[in-house]
Amino acid sequence: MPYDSRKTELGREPIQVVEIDLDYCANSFGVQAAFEAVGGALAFGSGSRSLAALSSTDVAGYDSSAGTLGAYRFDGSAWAVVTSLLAIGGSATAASMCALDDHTVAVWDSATDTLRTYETDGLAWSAVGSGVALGTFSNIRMASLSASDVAVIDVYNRRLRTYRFGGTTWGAVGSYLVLPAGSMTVAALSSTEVVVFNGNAGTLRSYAFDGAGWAAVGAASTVPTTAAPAVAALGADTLALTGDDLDALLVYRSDGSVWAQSGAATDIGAEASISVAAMTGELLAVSAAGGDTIQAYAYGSLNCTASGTAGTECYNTRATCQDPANYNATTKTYRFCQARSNLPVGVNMIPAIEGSVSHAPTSTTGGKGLGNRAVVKIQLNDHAWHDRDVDPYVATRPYDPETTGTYAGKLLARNPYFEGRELRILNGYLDTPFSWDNFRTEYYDITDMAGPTGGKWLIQGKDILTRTYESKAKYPAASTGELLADITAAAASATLSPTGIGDDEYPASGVLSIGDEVMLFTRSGDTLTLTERGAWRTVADDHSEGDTVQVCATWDAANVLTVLRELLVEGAGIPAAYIPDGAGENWNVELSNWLSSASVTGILLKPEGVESVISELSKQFLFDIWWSAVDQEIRVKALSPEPSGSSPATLSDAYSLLAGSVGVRKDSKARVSEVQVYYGKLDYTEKDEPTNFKALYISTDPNSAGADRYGSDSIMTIYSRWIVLKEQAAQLAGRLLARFVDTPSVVSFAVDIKDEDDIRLSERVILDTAAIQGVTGANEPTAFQVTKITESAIGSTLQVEGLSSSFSGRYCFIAPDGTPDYSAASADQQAAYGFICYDSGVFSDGTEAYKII
Amino acid sequence: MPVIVSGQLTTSASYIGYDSLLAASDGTITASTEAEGYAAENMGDWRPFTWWQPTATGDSWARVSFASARSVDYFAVAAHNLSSSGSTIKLQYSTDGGSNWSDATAAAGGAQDRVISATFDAIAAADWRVLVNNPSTIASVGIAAFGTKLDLTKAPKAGYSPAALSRRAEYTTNESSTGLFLGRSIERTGFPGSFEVDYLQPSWVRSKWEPFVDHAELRPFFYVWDSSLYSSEAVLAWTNGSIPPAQYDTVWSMKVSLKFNALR
Repeated sequence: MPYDSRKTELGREPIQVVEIDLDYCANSFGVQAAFEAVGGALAFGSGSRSLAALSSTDVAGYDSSAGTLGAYRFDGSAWAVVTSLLAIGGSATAASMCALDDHTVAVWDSATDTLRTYETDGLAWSAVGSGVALGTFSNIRMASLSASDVAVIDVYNRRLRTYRFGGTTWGAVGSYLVLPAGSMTVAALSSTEVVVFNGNAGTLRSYAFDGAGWAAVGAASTVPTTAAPAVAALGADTLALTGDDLDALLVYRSDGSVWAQSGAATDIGAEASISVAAMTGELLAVSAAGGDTIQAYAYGSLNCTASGTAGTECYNTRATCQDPANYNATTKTYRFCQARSNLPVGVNMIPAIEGSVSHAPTSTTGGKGLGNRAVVKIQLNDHAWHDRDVDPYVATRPYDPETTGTYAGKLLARNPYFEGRELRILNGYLDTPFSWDNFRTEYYDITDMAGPTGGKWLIQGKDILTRTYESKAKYPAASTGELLADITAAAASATLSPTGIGDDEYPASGVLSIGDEVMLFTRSGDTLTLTERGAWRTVADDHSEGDTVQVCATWDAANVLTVLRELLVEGAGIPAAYIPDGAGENWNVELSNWLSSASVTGILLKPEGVESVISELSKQFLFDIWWSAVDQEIRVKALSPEPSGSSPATLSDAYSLLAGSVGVRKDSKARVSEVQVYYGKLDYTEKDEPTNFKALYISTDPNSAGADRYGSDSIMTIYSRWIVLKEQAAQLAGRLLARFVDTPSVVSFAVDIKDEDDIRLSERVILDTAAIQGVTGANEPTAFQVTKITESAIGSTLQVEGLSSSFSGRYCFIAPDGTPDYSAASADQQAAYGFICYDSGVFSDGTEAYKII
Repeated sequence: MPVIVSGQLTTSASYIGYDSLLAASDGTITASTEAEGYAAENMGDWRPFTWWQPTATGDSWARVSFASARSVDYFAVAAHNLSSSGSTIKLQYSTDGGSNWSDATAAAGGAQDRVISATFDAIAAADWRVLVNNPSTIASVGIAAFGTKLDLTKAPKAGYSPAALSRRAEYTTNESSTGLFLGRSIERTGFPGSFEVDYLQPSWVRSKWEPFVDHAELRPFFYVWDSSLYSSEAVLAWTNGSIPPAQYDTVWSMKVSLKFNALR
């Protein structure tokens, strides 16, 4: 029985389960990885050969003895030829090839001394453009830098040079660099950097290309010598290398300056004329004379170089790691549950939760800013533990874990880095047979783990939006670049310091601030071209060496949800997957219905707390935002009237509202009789105060403040640095006044879990209860916007809070073309769409007119 | 049916099983197979929420070996799903280092996955193993204990309620404002129990009961109130408070008592 149909909780036994994911290393202590042959081999080549990876499954193979080019595919278990073979040259003693993209290669062979491009349509190969002679019939080695550029080593002449394919012809780019003598090969680490494996010298050395020439980077690292080296880049800092007399595949990693072997060697037998191509960072294609086959090798992820005697191993956690360079991060799930006498057999979870999970749920405000973030606290009983399934090396420990320390004490000591890791609360039932399908999962970030104290320990989590807190997220990110030298108020350029900071932190163009001045810029390296001084109504001024150059965030008529997304994803680092803005999803629906005209114009001159900016936007563009822990989504809901045609669920005293649970009070502080919106901020470097805005829009309902009604004004004043249009200010003021012109009621009530599907945060429900009566004493069904839901008795009872929805009148959507007049329209059309009524303010059937908001 | 004489059940088939060779520190445990996170040692840790689970259908075993023979006269299993998996379990022993195995108990599945218990004349062997047969679905076994049982020599006093029949449940019931029954969920269930045994030899209390108290203060135990007629009412019990001190009820005899929670 799926959990979301909890209308049948009768006789079921609820249970709460808590899961936490903590860091865990996938490696085994002291076990070093190596490549392993995977799948079968395919006959390929008979002498010299070259491979180039086209994709994660395909390689191009050039058999220079036969002079044929083909494509070969590995499906995980076997190789197959997937194109016809193209004869492109005579029998050659040497060949080299690299892939320009997933269907194009550059090939050179010693028989023709021609570098030429070939492409495949998946069935056959054909030449593209013309070739170029490289001036040697000895040996060439190549590595692809980009879709057009290759790094070429003329081994005989010891020259490293870039060649570029312009679509039809090849040509040299920049000057060449003379390399130390030796049998060499090359692999590209990036679009501007290669590593050269000199087999005779037994060295690895990096070289960088600056567009004009090549230069050595750092010092050479020592590797085994070989007469005929082969190398492939597994990543920007990882290589697989081999050679004729090595008979093994070796992995080398760079720490930025020195290359060193990582893991164990893989025996590939006595091979010669070896070619290797990296299909992925962990999958190689290898072909060699000897076996004359092509064979795939997969690289194991286990690679720990730590050494130590038995009993001194780590605990596979980051804090206890003895080989941090090879820490292989993954997660380990720890699961706890409430104590029950009938726990499901075979499901690993420790019944340590004391009582139930303390849950302060998220709450919304009805468009008055961010509500409260959900907080969950789990108190657990600590206990002795044998460490099985926790300590992977428990068998070798010199102590008895059952009598040494406690579960929580050891867990927290081994896992001090828990903040931000995932915490899941699973609410479900102990049905027979047991099934996780009977559980509903809520997702949170771990914010604290503490204890053990007095035999207890604590796990605390908060919802994902806590990542927006000022202490955790600021936007834009603080820039660390400074002016290299003084600039005048008229200067059109500036230089960033320290060297290299430009590429590290600054976009190619944008907006920046120095002091109180905003400038527009473009950038090349560390050099800024200041295309506009004194932008955003600031004043151009002199600036001094050492002044901070801060990148600004700006929006010009951007939709508020676009801004919100940027703040969440780029500002708070929240995964975009948590934002439901696909077609038909929450954000898209709210955008279409209510927020399409919510236009934001403004600038963040300096880093500001993401939470406070979002809170401003929420208040000024009238939407709620909250973390839906069940849906794993950040949801929004615009402050809006209930459109005609919608039908919130009705909860009644008879069938839903629990005895004695309904409470209603008036929130007189929330009443508004007049809304004043200051908009069009003048000076973004100054505070929000009336004199710093170009206009004020006022929306008022004088009747509500009259002596015969509420008797006093209640004025809400908003200073908006994000609104520049009068229409936007009017919409904000109008909606706020319509929503709060009458003193809103705050209601609290409880329902059985059977009604769970009818109650959604920020949505409306109608209460039909004796606690809300009309003037005749009859129940007056009233709509409330749900602001808080607490599962007060797990799997049984929901405690709900709501705010009355006081938009009076009926609201509608614009009718589509072809909709008939009101009198001829169907009831559904009348309910959903707007119609123009008589001057009397009513329709022919006596119903009231629609309102525009 | 037991006969009551002078307020005392005449049966002496009550026993406590707390001696567990799988928990013995000098035993070496091996298993035919173990699923990750389901080590065979878990059967001996007295925790009903950790399990041994083999990885293959058919016969699977978990063995404990000692340097010298150990005496065993009971076998009890709890926190398992043998019955619902269609599986069976039995205890075997070997006196030739594991070359040949003999059954100490018959294969049993346990009705409704409840506690399984069996007693037999004491057998001495250095190698013991739990043999599970999983025809199709692989079962998990939380606790398997075998060793020397603690015979209580007397049955519990009259008025005793078998724990397996003493189901306790706490509910939450929701009623609407107008009094309509809306829903009910179970907060927790359990099987509380207690027993009192009197007219015990003071020497028995000192030599047998006190070691058991040492165990029961830390770990669960099996309690079988009548192994001759109601072995199916065996429970895995754990004390829920201080164990009352043994008392002299006459100048020549003592009585002991215990309150516990249990699962059946």
